[in-house]
Amino acid sequence: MASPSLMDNLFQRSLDDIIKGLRHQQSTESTFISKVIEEIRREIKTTDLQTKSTALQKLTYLNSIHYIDMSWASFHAIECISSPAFAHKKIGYLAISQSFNESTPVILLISNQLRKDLNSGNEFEVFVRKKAVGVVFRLFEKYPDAVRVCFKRLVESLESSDSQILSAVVGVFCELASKDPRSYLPLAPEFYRILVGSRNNWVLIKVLKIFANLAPLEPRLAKRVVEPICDHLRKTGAKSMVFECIRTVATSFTEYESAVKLAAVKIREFLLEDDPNLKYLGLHGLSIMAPKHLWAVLENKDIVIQSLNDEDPNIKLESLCLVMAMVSESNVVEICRVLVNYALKSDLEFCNEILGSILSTCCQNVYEIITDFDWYVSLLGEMSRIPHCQKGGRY
Amino acid sequence: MIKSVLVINTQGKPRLTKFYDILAVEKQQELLRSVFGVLCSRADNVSNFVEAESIFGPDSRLVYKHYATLYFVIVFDSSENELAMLDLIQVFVETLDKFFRNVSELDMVFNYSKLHNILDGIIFGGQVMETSSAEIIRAVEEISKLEAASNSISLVPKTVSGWRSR
Repeated sequence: MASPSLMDNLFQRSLDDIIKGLRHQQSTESTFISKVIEEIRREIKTTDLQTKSTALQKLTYLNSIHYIDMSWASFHAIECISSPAFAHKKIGYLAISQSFNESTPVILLISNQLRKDLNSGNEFEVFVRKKAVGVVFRLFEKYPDAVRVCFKRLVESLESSDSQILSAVVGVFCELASKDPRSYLPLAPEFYRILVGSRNNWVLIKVLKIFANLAPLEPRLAKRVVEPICDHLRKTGAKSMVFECIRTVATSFTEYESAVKLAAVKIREFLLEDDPNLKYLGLHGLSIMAPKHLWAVLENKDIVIQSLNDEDPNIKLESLCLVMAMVSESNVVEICRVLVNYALKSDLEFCNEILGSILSTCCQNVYEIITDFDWYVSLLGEMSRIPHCQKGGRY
Repeated sequence: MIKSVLVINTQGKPRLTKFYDILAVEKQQELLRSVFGVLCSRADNVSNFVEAESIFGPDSRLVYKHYATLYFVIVFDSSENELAMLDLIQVFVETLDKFFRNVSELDMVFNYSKLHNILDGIIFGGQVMETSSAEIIRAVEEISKLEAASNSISLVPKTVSGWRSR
């Protein structure tokens, strides 16, 4: 193909032109896009970085919004990031972050440029540091050895007075601790300091998640940490914090009766709210509590059953799971009666969810909870006669 | 971590798509279609959370908010708090609103680059970076200044629209 002429360079269409063109074009969109791609392929070969980066920007847009493959342009992206102009670098880095993967042949060429750019000593050091912290954990996923190299710096950042850096670093430790909690147990004192001292909810939520992973490994740690957590639970005004405290207690502090009782009180508050989000989370909290503290679910039995009727499909499903968790030998008949009634009133999907749940719960452990098989057989007959029932074959 | 941020209009057209995992374009398209399918069947007064494991795989949750003609969606895993993610959508929309002075879908269509600058100020590499609109806008304005400065080196506007604006 002929290299771009002077005329092509002078009248290159910008990204804005392309967007406007797409909105106004007369012919079909795919024809227009093909034409644009042809243009881009010509323009991008130029040695002029302004033209090249504009072409790359258009291609990146098409890739992101119109799913056009841009893997063929990888080398051009590398050229753009080597430009001294910030605007070109930015376009290049966006293209790379969107289209490069492990198998991109030229990926090794980035590291040199990255190193130069990270060392360039400008006034944006704080931005860069934050972003570096943000992405470093992705690096750890691929190259666990890298953790050792960066570890010292990360731990130092835990003492940072800059709340943005602290947020980022605590976020990284949260991810790391969820994959390999034991290795981060030694940092518990640092996290404790943040737990009792910080007022930043974003940071506190992450620290709570970290403790949810660390506490089961060390009972002495759990003992020290449970009181500050309850303190937060009692005092915080932020619902997100309340929920995270509830989740932390219900997951990893289940032996601490007063903490669990407090969490149950707060869950009930959520359940009684009108806001469907809080109601949903309240039910979700109950299902986390259910395995070790079924009493909390039983205490809220009425609300749970009422929620089977809720408009929101999520809430209905969550309450169905809770109802099944409450099933025991003594109440199986009553609960099945209630559920079958709901199934009759429900739409196809939920009806079958209900029936499916009844069937799978009843046959668990070789029908452990069924004492009266006559009743069960007649129940099966009744369920199979329900108009929406699709569970005929299996049981 | 956050797996994805999506802005889709009520016709199903994507206005912003950011995936924090490497995915082939066909896969991205499929995910977007599935998400849209779920969202447009949601009533208005239900919760903002949707089960996402069938679309995005294990340990995935999805939160969305419907503003006028747009759905804002964040997909995340168990390292994030549900209500905090809902707040984050609010932060994103408020920042867009302040930046564009009453943002509309059209602003999002014509400002692809700025949109990404703003998003990168809030979420980067799947981690939350900043939650104050004022701080985010400050950072984005610094970046715009840098971009403008490096562009002013060329004396003759290279683009058609550049010529027209003279």
